[in-house]
Parts: sequence; C-alpha cells; structure tokens
Amino acid sequence: MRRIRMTAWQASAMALLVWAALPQGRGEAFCGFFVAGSNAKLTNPASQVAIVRQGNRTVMSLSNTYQGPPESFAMVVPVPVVLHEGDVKTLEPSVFDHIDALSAPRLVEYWEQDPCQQEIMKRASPKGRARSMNVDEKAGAAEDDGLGVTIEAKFAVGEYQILILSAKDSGGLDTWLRQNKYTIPDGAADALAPYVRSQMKFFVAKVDITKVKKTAQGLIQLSPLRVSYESQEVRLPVRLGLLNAGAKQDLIVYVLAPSSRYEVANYPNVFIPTNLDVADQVRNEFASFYAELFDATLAPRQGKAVVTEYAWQTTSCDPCPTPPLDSSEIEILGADLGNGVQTQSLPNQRRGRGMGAGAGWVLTRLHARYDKTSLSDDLVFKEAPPVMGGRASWNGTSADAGATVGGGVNNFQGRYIIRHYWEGAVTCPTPAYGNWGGPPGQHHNRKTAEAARGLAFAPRGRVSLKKVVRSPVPTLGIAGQPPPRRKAQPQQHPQQ
Amino acid sequence: MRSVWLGVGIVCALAPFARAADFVPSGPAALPRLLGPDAFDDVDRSDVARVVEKQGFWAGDPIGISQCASCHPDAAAQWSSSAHRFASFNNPYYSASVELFRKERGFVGSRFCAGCHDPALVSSGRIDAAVDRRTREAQAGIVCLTCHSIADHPPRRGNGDFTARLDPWPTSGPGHKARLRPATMATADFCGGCHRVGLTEEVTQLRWLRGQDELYSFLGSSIAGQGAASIHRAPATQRCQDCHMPMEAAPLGDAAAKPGADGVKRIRSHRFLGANTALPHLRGDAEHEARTTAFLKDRVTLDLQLAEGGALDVILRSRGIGHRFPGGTMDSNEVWVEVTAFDTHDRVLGRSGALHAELDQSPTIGREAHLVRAQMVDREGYPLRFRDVHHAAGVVHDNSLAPGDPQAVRYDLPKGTARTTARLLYRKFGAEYARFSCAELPNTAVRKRCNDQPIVEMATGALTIPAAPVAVEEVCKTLPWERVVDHGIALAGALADRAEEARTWLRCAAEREPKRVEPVLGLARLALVLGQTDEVVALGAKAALLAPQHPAALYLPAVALLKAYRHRPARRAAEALARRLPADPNALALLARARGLDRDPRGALEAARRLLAIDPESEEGHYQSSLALSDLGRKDKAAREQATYLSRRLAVEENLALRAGFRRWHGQLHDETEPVHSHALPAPDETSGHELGIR
Repeated sequence: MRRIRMTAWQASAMALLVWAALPQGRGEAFCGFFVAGSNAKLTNPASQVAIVRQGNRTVMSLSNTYQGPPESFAMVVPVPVVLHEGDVKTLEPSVFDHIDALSAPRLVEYWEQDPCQQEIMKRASPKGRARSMNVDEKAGAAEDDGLGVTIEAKFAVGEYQILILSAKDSGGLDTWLRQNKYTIPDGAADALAPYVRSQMKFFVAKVDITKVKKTAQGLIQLSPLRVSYESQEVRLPVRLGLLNAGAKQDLIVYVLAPSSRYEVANYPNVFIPTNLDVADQVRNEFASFYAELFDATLAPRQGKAVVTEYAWQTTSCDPCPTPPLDSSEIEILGADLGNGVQTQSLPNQRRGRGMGAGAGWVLTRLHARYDKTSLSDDLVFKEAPPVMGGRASWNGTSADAGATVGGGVNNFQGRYIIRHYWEGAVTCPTPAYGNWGGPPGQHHNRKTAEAARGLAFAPRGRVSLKKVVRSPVPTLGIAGQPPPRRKAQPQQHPQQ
Repeated sequence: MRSVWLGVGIVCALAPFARAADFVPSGPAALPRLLGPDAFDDVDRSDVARVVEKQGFWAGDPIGISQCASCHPDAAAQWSSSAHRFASFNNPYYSASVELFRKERGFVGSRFCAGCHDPALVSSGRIDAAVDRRTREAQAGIVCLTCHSIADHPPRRGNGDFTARLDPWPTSGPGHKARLRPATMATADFCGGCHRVGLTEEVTQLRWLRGQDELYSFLGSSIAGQGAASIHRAPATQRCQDCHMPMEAAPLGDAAAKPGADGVKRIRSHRFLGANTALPHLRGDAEHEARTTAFLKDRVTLDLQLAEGGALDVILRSRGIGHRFPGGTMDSNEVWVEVTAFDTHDRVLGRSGALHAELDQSPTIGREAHLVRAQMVDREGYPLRFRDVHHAAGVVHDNSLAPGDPQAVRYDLPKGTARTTARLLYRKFGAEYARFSCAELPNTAVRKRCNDQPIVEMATGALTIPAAPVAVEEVCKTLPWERVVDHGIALAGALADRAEEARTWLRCAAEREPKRVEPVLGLARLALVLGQTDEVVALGAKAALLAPQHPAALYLPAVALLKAYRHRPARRAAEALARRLPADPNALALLARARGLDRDPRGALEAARRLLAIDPESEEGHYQSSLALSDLGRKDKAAREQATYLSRRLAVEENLALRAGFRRWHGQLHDETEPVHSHALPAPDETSGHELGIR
C-alpha cells in the first residue's frame, strides 16, 4: 500500500480538493449520499447491494446509479471501520449484471403439446417421461445442497479517487472531518449525527465524471465498490439515503451465505406472487408488468415491507435466464474474505461452476422500494428458513402455487408464464392436456427465460394486473381467467 | 454496554513508571514501619533465606504481622493463608512473570506491578534494583499495614495509585480504629485501588489498554444496585467485602471481634477467598484449598438443552458473582467446558474439553475446548502465553460471564448420541503457564506440586437425547421456567442473523410465567438485536407494568430508540433510567449520548462527567465530553478530551487486525469471536484422560 504522510496543512489542502464542491448539492444513495459542486439536485433512484455474510464477517459491494449534472462529485458512505486499500475494491459491473439477471423475476413461454401426441409418445417410449423427470429430479437433488492527519492511502480505481483517512484510528477521522469543515451538509446533520456519535466512519470516494459509464436510461452507472468488515449484525443504513428524498428509492439487496437465505428482521417480509400465468402481451412489457405486481404486493403494507424475489442454491437455476454464478464470482463478491484471511487463487486454477468457495451457497434477492414515509429504520437482516416456490413440474405445469416456507432446500423465484394452449385438432378419444414445451415442432426447445431488468426504471401505470394475470391471486384481488374449455383441463392453483 | 475484557497477566499497578504507590515515609525508614521487627534479618543466616533457596519461596511463619497479631490473632491467622500474603516473590506464579517484565521493561518499570504486589519492596525502594528473593521483604506479600495504612487513593483510578501513611499510629482507643480502619476500607472503591488496572503506554509501548477491572463490572452490576442492562436482578445488594470478607468466627480472641445474634464473636474474614486454588495447593495448605474450592462451587450453573436442529446447548450463568467470571486475571485463568457424547452402549462418541496427559506435566486441554475467558494477544495477534502484559496489544475475544447473564455454548452432537454429560472445570493457570512459572523452582517435589494444579468441578449436567426429535415448544414445557428463559436470553445474544432462535424459548417462558418480567425483557432484548424498535418499546412498557422499578424496562427501549434516531423519546427513557440508577456507568453513557443527540451539550457534558467519576478512563465518557465541549465552543478542552479519548480506545480496525492475526495462528478458534458459536465433539483419542486431577 502506498502510504502518504501529510502535514496538517497538506491534509487540509487535500480536503479542500476533494470537498470544495461538497456543501452545495446533495443526492441520496441507499446508505450514503452524493455531494456535487453545484446546487443541482442529484438523485440515485436505484441501488444494488451484494452482501456476503459468513459468521460475523461481512463483505458488502455497492452498486449505484447517479442522476445529475455532468460534473465530478463525491460519494460518502458511513462504514463501521476505517477501510484500508486492501479492503476496498472496485468490481466489474458485469458481476452485478450477472447476479441481477440470474435472480430477477423471469418470464417463460410454454406451448401446450399435442394432447394426443403425448399419449402416443407415452405408449411408445415410457423412458421419455422418466428421463424428463430424472432431469428435474437430478437438478433438485443437486440443490440439496489523528489529528495530525495521515492520509493512509490515496488511490485511484476506475472512476474513483479514494481517500482512506486516518486509518490508524477511526476516532481521528471523525475529528479530522469536523476540523476540516467536512461537516455534513445542512439538513443532513441530524441524520448523520447518530452515525458520528456511534463512531461510524465515512468512506469518501470522489468520482471522475469523465470516466464513468452510462446506462441505457442515460444514468451514470458507477463501478461497484466492495468493502469488508466484522459486525454482530448486517445492517444497512438506509436512512441516510432518504435525505430530502422526494421520489421512491429502489433498493435490491443480494445476500450470499453458506447455508441460509436471508430476510429483513425489522420489517415485514413478503414473497412476490409467483407461478402466475400471464397474458401474451406481457412479453413486450415484462418489466412494467412486474413493477405493477411488485407495487401491488407492497400496497397493503403501505410500502413498509421488503419483498423476497429469489432464494436459491447457487449451484443451479431452473429456468436459467443466465448460467448460475461461477464460484469465482462468489469469491469476487467476498467469499474469499470469509475466514478473515484473504485467499489467493492459483493463476492457472480452473474453477468449474458450482465448485469452490461458493458451492452450495444460497443467493437471496430482496427488493425494497421506499421513501421516508415507509422505511425509516435501518434494515437489519437475519437468516430465514428455506423457501420453495415458482418452480415448474416436469411437464411444464406449475409445481406450486407460491412460496412455501419450511422445506429443506431454497428453491424460490418469481416465475411468470405465457401459455399457448393447444389449438390444433384433437385426434384421440382421451386427450392428455397439460404437457408444455417448446413451440410446435420444437418440443424440447422451450424458450430461454427472460429476466425482468431495470425494474427501478420500468414505466408504471401501463399494465393492468387484472387484465393480464390469468392465474387467480386472491391476496391481490385478482380473480384470474379460466383457461379455454376443453375436455380435460390442467388444474390451476390459487395464489396464497 | 462496555465490554470489560480481561485481567492482565499480573495484577499490575501504577502508571507511569516513575510513579508507584506512595509510602510516607519511604526508603530505609519505611520498611521497619511496614514490617515491624520482621524487617531486620541477616539474609545469609536466616531460616527464610535457607527455605527460599531450597524450595523457592517462604511459607513459614508470616512476615510483617507482628505489630498486629497480638491483638488481632484471628485476622492474622486468616491472612496468613490468603492470596494477599502470597502476592509477592513468595508466589512463583507471579515472580516468574514479573521477572520477565523486569527483564524487558527494567527494574524501575516493574513498579507498575510492584505497587500492588510488592509493597515492602516498593516502600524500601529496593524494587528498583535486582531483588534478592531470599530477603524477608521479598517474601512478605501484602502485609497488614499495606491496606491498613492507605490514607488516600484517587477515586477509582486503580493501578495501585494510593498513598500509605507509615508514621506512628495509636495502638489503642478510637484513634486506632480511625487511623487504621477508615470507612473507605468498607467500599468497593478501596478494593478497586488494585483490582482495576490500566496498562499504560509505558507498559505496552504501544497504547493504553484496560486490564483487569473488577470495579467496573461490579459498579455496573445489579449486585451493586445498578445493572441497567441486567435482566436478572440480584435479590440484595452486596459489596466486595460481603463475598470476599464474610463474617467468620474469631476463636483466637481477636480484639475486633463482635458477637452475632448467636453470641459467637466474629470478624471480617481476612482469608480473601477467591479463586486461587494453585497457591494453597503449592504449599500444601489443604484447608485453604478446600475453602477456595467450596467458594467456587455453585457460583456458576450449567444446563444442557437441545437446540433446534438437534445441537446441544450448554447454558452457563454466574450466580451471585458481582463481577465478570472469571475475575482477576481472566486471560490466564483456565475455565472450560467439557462435554462428552455417549452412544446407547455408553461408549464415548465425542468429547470436547478433554484433558490430555503430559509426561510429568500438567495435563493440557484440547484446543477445541470452549474457554470461559478473555483472550489477550500481542501486536501480531498471538496469544500471550506468559502473562507478559508488556506485550499486550489487545483482546480478540471475551467469553467471560457477565454478572447474572446466561451464555450459550453450542456443540454439534455426533450421530448416534444417546446421552451427554457436561462439566464446567476450573484451573487457576493453564498448563503452559504453570510450566513456565514453576520451571525455576529448585525442589523437584515442589515443582511437581506447582505444575499439578487442582482442577475444580464447578458445575455438572447431563441430558438424555430423545430417540425422536421433540419440538422445542414441547421441551420447554417440561423444564423449570428459569432454565427456559435463560436459554432464550442466551440465544438472544447471538449474531442478529441467528438470534431469532431465541423467540420460541422466550415465548414459552412468557406463556408459562405471565407475571414474570424476565421473559418479557428477554423478548425485548431479542427485538433490540433484530432492530425492531417499536417492539422493544412495547415490550419495555409491558415489562414496566410487571416490574415498575426494573431498569431494563427503560434501558432496552432507550437503546433501541437511539439506534432508530428517535432522539427525544430515547432521551426521556434515558433520563428516567439515570434517575433510577444514578451511578450506573451504562445508564450514564446512554444518557450522555441521548442528550448530545437531543442537542443538549450542557446536559451531555454533565452526564459524561458523572460517568468519568465512575470510570476516569471511560472511552465513552471522554468521547461524549469532547463532542459536548466542541458543541459548546470550548475547543481547547474539547481537543484535550478528544486526545484522551483517542488514547483510551482500541480502534475497531486495529482490533480487527489483531483478530486476523489470531485466526492465522489458530484457525479453529476463529469462531470464538462470535457469540453462540459451535464447537465440535471430536472422537476421543488415547491420550484423553478426563478424570485426571478433578476435585
């Protein structure tokens, strides 16, 4: 680590360099705040956090988007400890892209197979069905699874210039910030005071606007930052992100833990309704559809809840919008720091999927959309019993009617199905409806699942759930729509 | 709530080096006043010297009591077997450690230790040079007039910072008592003069560190009438003297003895019973050893219960101990849990905490064992093995027992376990430290006795494992409610990730005993851990209805509200709490913080000063003072407080670095930093001999 010792004067000068523009503009991040060089309003409508938790060790990766003037700004995040260069890493946004795509609600499209062809196939090849079941069962089985301040480090990573202040003693950092007029923006003092008085530290990352990437929505996508520390709890200080917030904040939290899924401990938890048959039009507006479903799920609780969207062993997925997480990705997110000793990979070590540090871990995706009227306390997380739901049966029917807590394995996802019912000729006396697969003539080629992405920015108010949801969802007041009349119909499960 | 973490290797005192306990007069004139006629001796001819040469220490006729014993024979007799008498170079376990200290920090530096341990050597000034162990002053210990001459001790600073007047005193009449037995001797603060230690920067050559501190944990306990955070309240308040100096019959006609209701004359016992079983064993004092063993028995209870998922929970709870257990040098006391799993044929399937026989040495404990202690480490994170406090850099974990608070230790049972047994065992020193400190003893038999320390079985328990799993809800109905609530409270102390497990136990206890406040407060503590602010407030209100004066009914909501940024209601709760417990350090720390956040720096400063009056080294006290002074615009004073604060704290990140070093050294123990961590029960090997030496 390059260590730069500075005099107090030099330190003050450095402070001014970094903070000259701080007091005017301010924007909210999920658990920190942005400060810009003008009075322009900065917003951070979408944040994603990936947490790797092993024992009392936490590795947290933060991915933020930023909306504001095209000028450099700084991001300030309270953290429990002074972070050293080795504790802070930037990650490729692709890691978040992958974990988002893997765990996002997915849309699948099934075609009902010829009800008579199935009968013929059954008679001709009993192993065909068995093989199909075996494939699914196999997948299931596999899832069992100081004040003379020292700037200790100054380093540039990607678009960030990071200052690690007074790493020798965290209390000094607090004092240094105050003495160098790093006082906390007006209006934020009340919110920050508890963090200061709790001896939290403030991690400062200045962002070089010329080096950032933009999202499809024109927002600035900051490279994810990874920090690690020990604590008796996993707590996200969301309150800071609500400073003067006018709009909703969209927060997605991914928790990776060796054996358990996670949920919030201090707000209600709800599962997203899943295994819903939906209308064909959803194909073109999946993100908007899901946003409506999400809002409807939170509505009865006035937004004071956190939605579980995904909880699954890392070794598999079904259906897979993208391949499961590579063990190296789990290590990148923090499993390498789990025992407090950073491990180094052998240069030529080849990792297979589902092997290594991440094998058998559980990925949980939690989603909150809130403002200062809904979530006011920091989020605290806890382990939760396994949950299953949103799975398909071997023949493409829904294997469940939503979340069931208490099984042995975590297999829960938000899964939505466009079904194309058989409309062809029925050529046998006892048609067997309810076998689903690929498009006509491509029985084994079910379309790859489509993940709902960019949910924070999905247009709202464009989709009527009552019109597009075909499965009954009593909890949302959705009666559902019956399937076409046929001689025999596959059973539909009401949502719980 | 502050964690009071460790005892230091030796009850070291005085800071900085240049300053030690003051004896007036000091130098050559002091010794005869302190020891009386015993001070004069011809080392080359004395019995003391010959015995020390032969066995390493003097345990014959006590030195330094002749001025007192004629009128106070009972006190003198009792003291003569006490650990206070054997606190100096007549204690090989101390002398080995202090000599190591002197070698690296110099003779003058060792005043830090000697102020409390070697008053005769300090008073004469001979501690500042090589000590001849054969001299009477080196073998005297803490004699009568050490304590009975203390005229002044700065309040609650500890470190042996006292002044002893050795000028002539009245030998009888009211003046005698007024001079030699001042009222302060009946207070905890008096004991805290030496039983509170701060390792100064001069000692560690790194940073100030809190050492053993019985005073803090006592002053913050319900036994002292405080204990803001304690769910279990002591039935009556007590002082240090009530436990360690209980009334004892005075058959020898002690002049201070007073008759009790039964007509028997008694004095305050000067045996100072505690937990040092090694010293009486070393010198063959069976009676004192037996009394010490009896003193330890039943001080901690042990319960075995199955947890959800079939793991075994061992629930430990200290009973009637007014400080953390183990007290004193809790980093070197060896207190551990031994758990054994048997199959249906009574074959041992697995055992943790087994003793492993060593040839001609004290048996050692398996590394997998759960130790009830604080782990002190050097700057690399390596454990201190020789009580070499001058190498101390911090503490990586503290698994000692808070007064009255249950602690859970979890064990993964081997498949096929039909029954389990568990014991809480105590040995004064670990085998390695005993080997180190006994190595220089000249007599083989004595050396063996020094190594062969007694092991005290403090508590035992057994549990039959049901053939089929039984739901916790059912199990809890069959157990005494207090065991149920203790299990719940212990589990609520786990990481927030897993604390939810406590709820079943606590709810069960609450349903069974709806008029008891403890289950409700247990649930409130759980809710606090889980960040459920409103729940904590509601449970606090419910608890207040059941037990209107219970402090935790205010403390827990106050903490929860502060964490949730609700400063005004938090302050209201903290103010009410501080009115109820005006001398509780935890309550005052909370009050200072709440007032500060409520923009009342003047009030915060007042609370912080009250806190600093209880603990002048309080990190939180100095921190809140600095913030309040800054808010009041008193920048210079704020800066001074800030500097003190920074010097009194071990930064979190530095502690993390120590932990990382510790884990590199001992990966198996890395979970010790987590509350309610799990231990394995390894299959026994041939060297295990768990019946060795247990008393």
